[in-house]
Amino acid sequence: MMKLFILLVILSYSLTIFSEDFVKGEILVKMKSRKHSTKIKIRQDEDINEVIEEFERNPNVEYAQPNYIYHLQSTTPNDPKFTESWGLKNSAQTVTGATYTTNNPGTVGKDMNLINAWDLVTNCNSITVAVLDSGVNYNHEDLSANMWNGINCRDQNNLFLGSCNSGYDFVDSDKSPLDLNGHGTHIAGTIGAVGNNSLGGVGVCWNVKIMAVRVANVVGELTTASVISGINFARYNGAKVINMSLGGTGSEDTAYKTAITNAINDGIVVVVSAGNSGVNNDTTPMWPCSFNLSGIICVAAVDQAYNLATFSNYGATSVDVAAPGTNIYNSTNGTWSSLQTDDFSTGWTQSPLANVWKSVASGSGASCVAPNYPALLTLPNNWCANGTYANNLDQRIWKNFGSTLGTYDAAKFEVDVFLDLQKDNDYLGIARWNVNSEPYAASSSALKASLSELGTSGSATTVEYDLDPCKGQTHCSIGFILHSNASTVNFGVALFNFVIKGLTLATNSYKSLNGTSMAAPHVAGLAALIRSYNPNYTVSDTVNAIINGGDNATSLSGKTVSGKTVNAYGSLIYINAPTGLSATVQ
Amino acid sequence: MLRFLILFFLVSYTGLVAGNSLGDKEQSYIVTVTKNSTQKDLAKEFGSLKIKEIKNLGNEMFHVVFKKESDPGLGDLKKRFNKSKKIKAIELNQKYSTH
Repeated sequence: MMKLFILLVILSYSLTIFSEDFVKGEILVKMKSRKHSTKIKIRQDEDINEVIEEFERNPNVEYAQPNYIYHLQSTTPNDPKFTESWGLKNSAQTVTGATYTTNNPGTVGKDMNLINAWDLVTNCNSITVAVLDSGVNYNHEDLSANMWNGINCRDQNNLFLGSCNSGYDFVDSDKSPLDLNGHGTHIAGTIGAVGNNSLGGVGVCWNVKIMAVRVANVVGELTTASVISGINFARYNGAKVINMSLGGTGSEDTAYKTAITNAINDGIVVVVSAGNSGVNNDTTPMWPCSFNLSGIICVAAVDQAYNLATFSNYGATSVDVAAPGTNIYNSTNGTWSSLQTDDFSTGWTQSPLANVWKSVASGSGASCVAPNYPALLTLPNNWCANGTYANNLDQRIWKNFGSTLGTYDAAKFEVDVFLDLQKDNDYLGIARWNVNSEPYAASSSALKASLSELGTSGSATTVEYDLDPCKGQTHCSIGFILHSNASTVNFGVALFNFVIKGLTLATNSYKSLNGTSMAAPHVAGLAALIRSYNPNYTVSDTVNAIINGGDNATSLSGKTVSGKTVNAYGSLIYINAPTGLSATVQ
Repeated sequence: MLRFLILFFLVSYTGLVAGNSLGDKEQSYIVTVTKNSTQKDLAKEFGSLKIKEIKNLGNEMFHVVFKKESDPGLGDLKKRFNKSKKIKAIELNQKYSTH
């Protein structure tokens, strides 16, 4: 017990410190006959130097000195966008380009305390962090030096693949996991944008190995299959931390849970995001956050005053901690340009009936297509008039947008949607086809998508749709279908703000984003920092340090397991009880 | 036949939006097999069911897509392979999205 105590004292003092001043009226004197120095109070009117000299003339004194005051160093990187990164250092700065307006600026000191943590460690280069996401722009100026090199890459079955470009692409099944969405590149930047390189932003780790594992497509969709492959890829290629800023509300997916369990058992810390619906994950599970696994850390988002972000999911038993997740500024993959907008007024063909979908000018200047009722857009539900759509509809509407996408690295369309449909029976489907024809003619019913629950609470949902297969094609037909069964009808569908966008990849793009997706990588970066500082830490040591080293936050009380926000310095100096030891009382 | 193949290819590239799917959820599954069972073993287990694609996900898990006309649905598949010595579990290939 005594040994442990001494060890704790030594560790507590093994910090990088420097002197700046001394305590007035105090000196430290070490007698040769004694093991430790003694603090001696002197009169305020005495000259401290004279008193020290007097003690040093005594042959029994080994030394005498002022009682110096020490401060932690403030390790501040020179990256120009560091000043935007309130989550790393909050000086109540106003984040530019911010879209989350509450508490911008926020409160001084409400941050991860990285300035002090970086006095202890900035380099996580011994740690590989796998970013399972939409890929990473591994050529980005502020990331390329920190990408995993991919030499001797192994596949999800642990078979030799040869050399990979910083990871693997499980969407297109190739070795170049370039990010065609932007989400993954931003997350990679939060974890490990190169620090102190006078360029861009800075990551929680200044140096680290970021493994890009592309499991999500251009519009951020993924499946159990791609994410399981990605987890196994990370396992077999030496990742110590996995970040998954993603989730879904389907049924508990045991194959997915097993894959994560295997990763944890292999010594990987798995960090996931809580979700952005503002709901309680304890009652409405969000997977993988809600998997009951001790090696998963599920992260909620706080704003610049450390209040729970309005969009953030929470859960007193399922969400572990919170981290900065609003107006997070970091790298992105390039720029999306608006190529073509459409107000549904011309060029749309519908079948089998005529004039069921109607083009309707709205009061706000937008346009909507609504079945049955030509009237002004009225929110939240009764947007197209007083009434409901018909039973037994299979009504399609489509338009050929031709080829405008060939020169872009990726393409998608966005449309704002209000939906009020009979859940699990009626649905809105979306399709596209690179032929000048109604796209559902080519689609089997198996490929129809249902969006029966979007936008019924008074706000529109922006739906994104991947147009990559249209690239380089002469035609690109985009269509919607409203399907209803024989019973119960609701208010229907309104579509507006339709826009086709093209992506141009760039190596110097940066962006401010909001989301629990942005909170999770702060914690993944911290996990890497902790494991770099304490190379022998197990998964549970790391998780304990993250949770126990955090700061209590009033806004999180009852909202998360710990009620804490993460504190990097607190986690680094938190000393886990040694594991695997036994003691005998004598 | 060629036309059918081209059509099939185009269809397979007609994507989906995130959300609960009604129509597509019966066609794509995650199958967990017993240790040391191979892709060949799995294909044998499916017998006459026509398979569009099998992908090895690692760790005794496979992604299986049946041809639409041959897809018996999750409930039926679970019943069929309830006592299989090769297949441990069959689940839907669910959809997720980035946050």
